[in-house]
Amino acid sequence: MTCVVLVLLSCSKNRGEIQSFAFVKPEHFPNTTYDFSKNEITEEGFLLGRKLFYDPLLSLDGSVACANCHQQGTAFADGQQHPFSIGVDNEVGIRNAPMLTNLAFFKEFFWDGGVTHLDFVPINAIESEIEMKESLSNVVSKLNANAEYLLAFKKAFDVDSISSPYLLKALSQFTLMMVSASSPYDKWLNHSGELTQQEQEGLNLFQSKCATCHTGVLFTNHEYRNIGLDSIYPDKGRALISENPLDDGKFRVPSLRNVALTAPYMHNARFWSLKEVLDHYDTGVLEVENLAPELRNEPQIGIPLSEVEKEAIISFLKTLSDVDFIQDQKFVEYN
Amino acid sequence: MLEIALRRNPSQACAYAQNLMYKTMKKIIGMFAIAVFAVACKKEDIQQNQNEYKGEILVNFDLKAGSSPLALRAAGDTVNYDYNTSNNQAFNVSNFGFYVSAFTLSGPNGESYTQEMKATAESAKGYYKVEASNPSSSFINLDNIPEGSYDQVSFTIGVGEEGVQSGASGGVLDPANGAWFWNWNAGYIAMKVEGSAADSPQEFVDQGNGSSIPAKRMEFHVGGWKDVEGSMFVNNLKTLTLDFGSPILIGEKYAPEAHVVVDVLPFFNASNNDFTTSYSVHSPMAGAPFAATFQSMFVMDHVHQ
Ligand code: HEC
Ligand code: HEC
Repeated sequence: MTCVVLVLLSCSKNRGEIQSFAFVKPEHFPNTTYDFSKNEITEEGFLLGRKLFYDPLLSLDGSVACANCHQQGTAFADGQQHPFSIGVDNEVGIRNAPMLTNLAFFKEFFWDGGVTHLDFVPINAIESEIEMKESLSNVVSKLNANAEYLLAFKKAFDVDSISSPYLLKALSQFTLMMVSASSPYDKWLNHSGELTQQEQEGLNLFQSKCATCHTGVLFTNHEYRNIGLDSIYPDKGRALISENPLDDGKFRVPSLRNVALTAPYMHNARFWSLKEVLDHYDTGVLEVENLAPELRNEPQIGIPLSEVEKEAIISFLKTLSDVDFIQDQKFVEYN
Repeated sequence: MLEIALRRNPSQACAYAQNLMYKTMKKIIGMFAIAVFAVACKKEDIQQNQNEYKGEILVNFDLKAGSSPLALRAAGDTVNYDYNTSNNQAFNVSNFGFYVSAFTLSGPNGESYTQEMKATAESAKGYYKVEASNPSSSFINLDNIPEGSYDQVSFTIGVGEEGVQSGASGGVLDPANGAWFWNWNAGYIAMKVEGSAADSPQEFVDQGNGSSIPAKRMEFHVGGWKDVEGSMFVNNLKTLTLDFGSPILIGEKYAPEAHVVVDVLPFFNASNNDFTTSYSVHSPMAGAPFAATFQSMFVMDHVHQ
């Protein structure tokens, strides 16, 4: 018996080593949306993506890397607030850097869903006046002047000179691998872990009160909702993309994986704790025109919750923190 | 050379000697190759090979304003207004161009051809960016066309879902290499018209770090590719089908050229644009009235057989 187990262990260990740079879909997850046939993940591509992610060369003055705003310890979210401007109507708002997890399962990115392919996401960061202030073509020139990068791109993509699609695909390879699926909640789902009584109660409350929007194992229905945070909208959210005034103030229903690690909360970083978020759903929801129908409840608008219920929900949300993920050595800057 | 005149009679004979010479060279080399091949192969093989012969056609977009070639002025030029809209508003053009993709040809006897499109990190096959500032971008050669007679060409102005959703792509779709890409609402701009308009209320804006918006600036970026049922999303891609007038032959012995005139005036006239209120268009919805003019901008002028 011991012998068999040992053999199995060593087998899976070997396999683990070989596959550690292949994308593995967790069994309890839906199908991926990213088309890997156009960008197959390889060890060289992933390592190149990692190098780029941590390299401030991507910014104008060499001071800001992707990792400045997306830190592994907070599931690649960021505690800081970042102003955001789209320039079209000179509208300026504040957007909170979301965590980066399970991106291979999303169809639309950003709080307003304006970007429909993961490859294109970094262009926004690089070219944003407020973020990295650099132009994509200039980044490409800087990379082409760098012997180390020339070699790394050659290894990853067999190209002799660097162009932006390969830069973007390398970054995608790195961020696609950020799969968070081994939290205590996942272990409970897969019958390899327990939840406490309070966490179970929180889960039940969550299922009945929150899961219409924060649906399934990704904790989002991938739709856009106005949850009554504001009555005027310095950042119109989904309406910037859909051009429909009925979408003013709607934002993407965020995934709640690792949410206990990703404060502050909401697109505009309004709340600093989960307790404040739940207080909002309980008593803070404003009755605005575009309010989500799920929150237009009778007799009281929002989601009434007792203090005990809030504590239970928070203890459940904490079971979504994935320590394996935030400590996974493969995402650590060059080591 | 047989010239089929349509709508307009071209005043000047079009000389594309270079192109013809190139083609003739290619044919000579081709014939030589076939000769070598013939020696090496059995008779049946050659027979088959000949039946599968593929031809080419050169599509040439002639960029114009009314009946004269489009003049480009430096951005910010508020002295030389070359054109007037039908509302009598003066303007000039500093930048004009469009993406064109999804070429197909069809013939009276069921001939049909669909050009391959493939956007990858390396290249963007079947996607073209025609720009007034880059004259050679106006010549688009379609090849590998089954031999036969054809009387229609169609193409799409813009880059459709497949091109966008292929992710980061090279060639004319590479944003670091001049692609017209909207970062914030991911997708490619189908058509751009930029310049100065005497009635534009745009004031000079110094944007810092060396860039500025000139006074009297007008900028029309028409894009948007999403079809979402029950939403207000605007899909501004337009597929145009143009007749050759009478069928033309495509095949081994021919080097046909189709001249499509692209007239910038209907962009403002057919949309009844008023520069005093409409001078800066950068979203799908605002672009819709202009996308509706594409049909009247593109006219099959004549074809050389
Ligand atoms: C200055 C801070 C900052 C930097 C630097 C930055 N980001 Fe972001 N990132 C953000 C913010 C803010 C958002 C949300 C933007 C929005 O919703 O409009 C975001 C969103 C994203 C998303 C989309 C996540 C989702 O779920 O929709 C990805 C992926 C991403 N960033 C990757 C990167 C990469 C790769 C880089 C480096 C090239 C980078 N970021 C650099 C702040 C930053
Ligand atoms: C109507 C759909 C809907 C329902 C129901 C709903 N949420 Fe949300 N939730 C959202 C949306 C949309 C956001 C983002 C809003 C924004 O930023 O403007 C959000 C944000 C959050 C956030 C912040 C996440 C982050 O990363 O910033 C938390 C935590 C959260 N919800 C928890 C819950 C809990 C717990 C419940 C049940 C009590 C619940 N939600 C019910 C739609 C919903």
